[in-house]
Amino acid sequence: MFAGQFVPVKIVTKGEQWGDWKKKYPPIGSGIPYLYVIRADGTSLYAKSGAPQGDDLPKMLFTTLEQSGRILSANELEMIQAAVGEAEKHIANEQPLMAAKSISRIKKIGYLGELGSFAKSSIRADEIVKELTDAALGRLQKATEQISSTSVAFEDILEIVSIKTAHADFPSLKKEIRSASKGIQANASAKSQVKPAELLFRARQSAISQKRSDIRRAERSYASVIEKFADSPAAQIAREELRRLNPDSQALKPAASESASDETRPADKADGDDEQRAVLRTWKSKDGKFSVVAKLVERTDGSVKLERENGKQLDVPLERLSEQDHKFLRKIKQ
Amino acid sequence: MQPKFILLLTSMSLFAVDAVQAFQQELPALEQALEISKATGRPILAMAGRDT
Repeated sequence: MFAGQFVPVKIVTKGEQWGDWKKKYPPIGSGIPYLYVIRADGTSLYAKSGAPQGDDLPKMLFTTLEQSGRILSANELEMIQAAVGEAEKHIANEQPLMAAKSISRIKKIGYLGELGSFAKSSIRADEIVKELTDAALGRLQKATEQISSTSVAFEDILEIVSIKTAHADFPSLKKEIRSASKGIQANASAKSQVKPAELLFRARQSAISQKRSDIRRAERSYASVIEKFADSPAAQIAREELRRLNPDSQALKPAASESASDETRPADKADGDDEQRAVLRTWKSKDGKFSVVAKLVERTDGSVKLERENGKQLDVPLERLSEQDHKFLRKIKQ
Repeated sequence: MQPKFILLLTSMSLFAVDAVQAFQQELPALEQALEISKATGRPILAMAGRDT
């Protein structure tokens, strides 16, 4: 009953080892035998001289076991060690979202961040969850503040969607994630960017793997972003990342992306037609951070005049427009 | 394990007999026991006495 839950050890009360031990864990009383219970994290739970009598020994063992934290099975420990190892690798590579996914695997064992064991790997797992939670919290708050401002940047949506997906099992982030999601839902422009963000995050997750099947999955997800959301900032990011993954991908061929664009955005089908000028479309900044739904009013050498749905006009320098916008303008000109 | 150790332990309590038996087995050295404890989360139950 008790034996399997303790690590029994004998110490001979002479020599350097005993001296060090006694200094580290000073016992109450003097005279052999000395009895100790030391928790796995090194905390002394019992250190007394003399032999407990009657029920005192089992009582002491019960009490100290209760203070010793959860005793994990060999399988559980193995799972924690693997998750910690993987998460630390991702942290070293500055991939906190992937680290969050890796450490989340131990949710089967216990509450993330409070596994309740004093085993070294378990303590480290709790620390990792705390570190990742703190980091995610800061990024989540920043992105949520940005969304509540006037212009919605795709990066902020992607940030929230990524944190939401990777930290779905982090109990201490649930409230903040829910609040950020509500913020997105309340903003039509932000809401429309959730799907491409989810797809892009999925592609990134697969792309990080060394397995060929995952890489192929990543390519498919990137291609899907490019096809389904052709003129979005997500597609621009997907193109860049897919180019790094597989420069020969079919999805990067101009014909593929342009025809996909036509399929998904019927309003753009009449490119080249003068009437197209009067059609509302999404204009994006070169860095993908800003977007505006507007129609083209006129084009000068250095800028375009756009008109929003509410009739408000704005001038945008050509050099600030995305590649997709330039393509659109070239077709109009033809 | 020396007889004196066993006698001391068995005199402690008949109710904790398996804890006593644990000390009759081949036990790891202190350093090794500390490592096992750290790795598994199990607490150390240490008995200190004379080995003669």
